[in-house]
Amino acid sequence: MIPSHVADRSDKITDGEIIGRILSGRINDFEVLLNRYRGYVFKIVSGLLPPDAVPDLSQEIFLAVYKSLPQYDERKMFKKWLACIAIHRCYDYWRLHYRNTEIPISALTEDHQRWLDEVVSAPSRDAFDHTETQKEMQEILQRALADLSAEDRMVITLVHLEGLSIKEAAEVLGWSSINVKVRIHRSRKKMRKRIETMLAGGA
Amino acid sequence: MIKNNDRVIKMENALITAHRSRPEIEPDAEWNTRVMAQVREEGPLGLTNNRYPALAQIFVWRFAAVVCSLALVISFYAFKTGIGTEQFMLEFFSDDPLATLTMILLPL
Repeated sequence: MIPSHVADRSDKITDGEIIGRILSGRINDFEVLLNRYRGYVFKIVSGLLPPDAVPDLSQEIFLAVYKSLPQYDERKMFKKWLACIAIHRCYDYWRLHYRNTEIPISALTEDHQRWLDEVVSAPSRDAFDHTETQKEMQEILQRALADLSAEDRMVITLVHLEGLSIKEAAEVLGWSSINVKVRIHRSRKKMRKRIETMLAGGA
Repeated sequence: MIKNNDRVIKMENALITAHRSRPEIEPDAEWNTRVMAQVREEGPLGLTNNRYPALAQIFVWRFAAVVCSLALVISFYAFKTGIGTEQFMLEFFSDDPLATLTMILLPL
């Protein structure tokens, strides 16, 4: 529960003021930040990780944010700082789980095959109903990304799937733009090769 | 080949659409409670525990820079003037830490 004195005015208090209070020992005020940015963090994490890993990793992110508050530089935007921590945690997740996510293409089910056929035979990408096949689509996407290293997966997801610019991706990952450009080219090539194999298997 | 490329691009676009239209994940009712329980377990972020090492680090490095500059100036001075007199004085006092000889020689 948010303390009543904070809940009344929580929307008027700036992030900096809340952080100041937390640092002065009022740890319950952290819940204001939690409520303010929970949705934002869930959105970032769900774009980068499998759905079942999202709640636990978001929890870890907020705990890391809490522990890092003394190092927070007030001149920076809190939201941006939080996004960087979230993205780096997702990157760490893929570094740990990279080897565990290899999925053989032969494991495609009938539903997957049907979805592939529907996509390929549809006159345009909006011509098929994707709401009913959301699960299959997500699974195919995971298969297409399965071979990628943590670094390649992060750049392709941020730039290609999430729509960030190369400069934005470089900034949140703390890499150079050239590094991101090279990785995006390489990972896209790998993903296309994987899709080609899937299509050949499904044809 | 071109046809195959078209199929791959079509598929790629469909996957991007799939990714962007994924259903939103909402935290369950207990999620906030779990996070706050962990935060409380961590305890207050005492400034004394966290800010002093950072401050100390800043001062240590600034002090180190000043000391290095001073060492450079002294080395330059010693190189230019020679250190004969200073060495003699140093040996004189280090051999006579209680300055007894100095006290004896002073009235003379």
